[in-house]
Amino acid sequence: MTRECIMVIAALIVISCSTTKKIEAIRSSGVKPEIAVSDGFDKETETRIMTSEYSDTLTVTGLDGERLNLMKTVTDSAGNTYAHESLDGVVVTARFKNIAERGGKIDLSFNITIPKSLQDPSWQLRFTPRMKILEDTIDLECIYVTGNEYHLSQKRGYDLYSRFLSSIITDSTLLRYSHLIEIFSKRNLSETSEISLQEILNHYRKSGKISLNNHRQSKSEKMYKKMVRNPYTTDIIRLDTVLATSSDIVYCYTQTIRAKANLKKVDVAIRGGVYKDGERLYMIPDSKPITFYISSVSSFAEDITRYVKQVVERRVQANTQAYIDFEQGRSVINPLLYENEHELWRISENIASFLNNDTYDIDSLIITASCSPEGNYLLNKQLAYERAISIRDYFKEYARRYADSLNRTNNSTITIDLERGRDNGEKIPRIVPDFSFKIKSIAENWEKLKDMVANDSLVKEKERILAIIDDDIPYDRKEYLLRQCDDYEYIRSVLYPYLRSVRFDFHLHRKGMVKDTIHTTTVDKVYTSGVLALKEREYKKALDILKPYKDINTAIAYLSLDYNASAKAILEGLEESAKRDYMLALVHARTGDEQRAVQFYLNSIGKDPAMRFRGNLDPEISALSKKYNINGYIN
Amino acid sequence: MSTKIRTTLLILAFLLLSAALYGKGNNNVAIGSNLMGYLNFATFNGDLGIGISRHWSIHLNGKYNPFNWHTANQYLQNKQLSFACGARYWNWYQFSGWYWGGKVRYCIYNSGGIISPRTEEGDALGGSLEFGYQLLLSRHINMEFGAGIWGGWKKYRHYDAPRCGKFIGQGEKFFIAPDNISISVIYNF
Repeated sequence: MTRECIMVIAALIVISCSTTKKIEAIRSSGVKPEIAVSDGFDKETETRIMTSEYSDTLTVTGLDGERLNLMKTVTDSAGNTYAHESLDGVVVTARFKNIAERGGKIDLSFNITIPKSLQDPSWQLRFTPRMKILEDTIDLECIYVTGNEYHLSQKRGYDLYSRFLSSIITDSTLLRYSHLIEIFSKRNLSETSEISLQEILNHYRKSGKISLNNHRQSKSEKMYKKMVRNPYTTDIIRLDTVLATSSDIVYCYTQTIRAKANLKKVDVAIRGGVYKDGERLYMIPDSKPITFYISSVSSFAEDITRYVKQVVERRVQANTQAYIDFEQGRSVINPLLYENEHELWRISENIASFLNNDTYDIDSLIITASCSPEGNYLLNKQLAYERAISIRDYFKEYARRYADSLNRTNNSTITIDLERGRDNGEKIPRIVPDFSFKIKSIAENWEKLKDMVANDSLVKEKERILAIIDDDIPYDRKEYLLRQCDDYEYIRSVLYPYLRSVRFDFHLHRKGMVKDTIHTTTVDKVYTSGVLALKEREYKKALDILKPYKDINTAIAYLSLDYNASAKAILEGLEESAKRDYMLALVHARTGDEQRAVQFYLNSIGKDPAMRFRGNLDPEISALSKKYNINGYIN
Repeated sequence: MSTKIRTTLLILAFLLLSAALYGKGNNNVAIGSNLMGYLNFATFNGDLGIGISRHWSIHLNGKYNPFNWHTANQYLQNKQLSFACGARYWNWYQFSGWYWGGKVRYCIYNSGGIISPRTEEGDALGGSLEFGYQLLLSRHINMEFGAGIWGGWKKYRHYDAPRCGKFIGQGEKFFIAPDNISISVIYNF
């Protein structure tokens, strides 16, 4: 008995020793996953160019103006150049890569290699790529590589738990003596029986089983924790694979990120850990990082300032209507009638705001008072005139008092000064100019009545009424005929009050302006915001703003969104420059016209030799360069 | 009125009552027979039970054993004629589940030769208490498992042999005896 015990204990020690030994071996050897740039996404562009059906020889004009034949070439390790044959199957561990931003997005792709010595059937490896963008460090989605035993032990926990769950009876018919219930119900249950079905069901329960079931259900939470010691992860992970072979594992990881302004490079490194039974055994040190250098067409954007012409007029007009009611036949203003108080206050506020105004001065105020057609025409005429005068006096008094109070606070007297210059930030004392009140009066506002009747859907005899109004007869006669219509009550009660209105026309001029019009140029803020959006990599927004301008920035916006034809149209209209030639080369490379692409590329290098370095950054141009060995030619 | 007529009238009344109550809704009427009784030297027995409410039923019980038994060298008998009537209280519902009951029994008996040749003959009047369980087997059939004990007053005469025995003695005394070990089959109408 004891011998068996000792052997078992010894075996356990050996097993745990072997695990610790392995961890020690890994730690001392410093084995860790490798990260390398993959031929992932841009392979598309490169492959397209490398294997295009285009002829292997292009004829272009070189930098010195001579005719040049370029052939598709390949360079071997010794530096010798031969005519084309494509190479395959070479794995290169490069530490950096140039990628281009397209349409506001950047596609990163890299290979993660997990060496064989890190793998073990009872372990789970977890790797997280860490991305460094500007100042932020972002963890991308994890990759889990699980050993077979690890996975099985996880599964075992879940199996145990599911077996436990299945032991909980959910079918309530199993918890009753159904046979007995049936017999009893047949014998004794009817509409007139004292016993109800519920009582029968309650009586014939298997209470032992029920209580056991309830006990199990209440324990299920605890049992889950006990049985499933290593639950499956609920985080969002990129990959969770179970090891099938024992060799190095290579996984191609791709991630698309949004381009940001000033984002020129992205560093990616891997960090990971070895886990056993859900606990971390060993933290793998971070791998060496790789760098993606990001090139964007928007770096060509130019800070151009555009100006817009504006015409500013000296004279301005404003008007408002007020409905001031008067007692029948009277022309005295009674603030207590209807809405008079509110209307008078409103007009007073308007006057005050123009008096106390930074931008405008009042030239004159024209008050037009009108009456409704009720009553004798000549009497109405007199009444309208008197009412206009009454209103004018009221507001004139108000304006005077207001001006006085302003002047008192500003300690200056009223003067008229039309030659005053513009306010350039100093505190100038308020000068309230005197202005004229003019009055007009309309005895009976038939025009307005005609408009209102024409647009009113509740008036039934529209044509008849309009005919009466249009008719060339004395006004009093018109009124008499109107009173015969059925709609008269409606017109009198609803429409007439609107005819007793007073109209205020304010004639203003801009303070400090002497000329009638001034033409100014202001910075076109819209264009500036468009260029800013371009720099911030918000291409759709930039294009919407910049579309009407049709200049180089618009072309850049089109290029970034891959609208090559539109970009070409604009670029061809611009004056020649290195930038413009380079962008045309891009356009042609994208549309497959390799002849023109290479031609424009060479032209742009001719104008600005630095463009060849730019050419290495854009995948379309760098593929062309490689294919025709343009760099070799330049050297 | 003679005893015979009186008894017959009582039984008739009982039967009429049972019929009436049977018509009244959900009350069961059941007849049963104790299989153990037949083991008791072939005592024919029958039980009529009438449910009168959810928890109560009244019963009429009769036993009859006229048989003599003789083997090669033994002669024995356990004759009896007995009537009992009583009531039962059902814990759950009449004629299903556990019950408690009480009866009044009148028994005329003659038994002897079973343990010893001494034969006792007499009549006994007493009350019994019983307890048991009825199991529902089907719509009409129940199985009853029960036991009872009774005690009362008996008037007896002793003889020294079951047949043609000499008169030994007589008396009256109080007794207690098991009433019923029942494994019965009951038929509910």
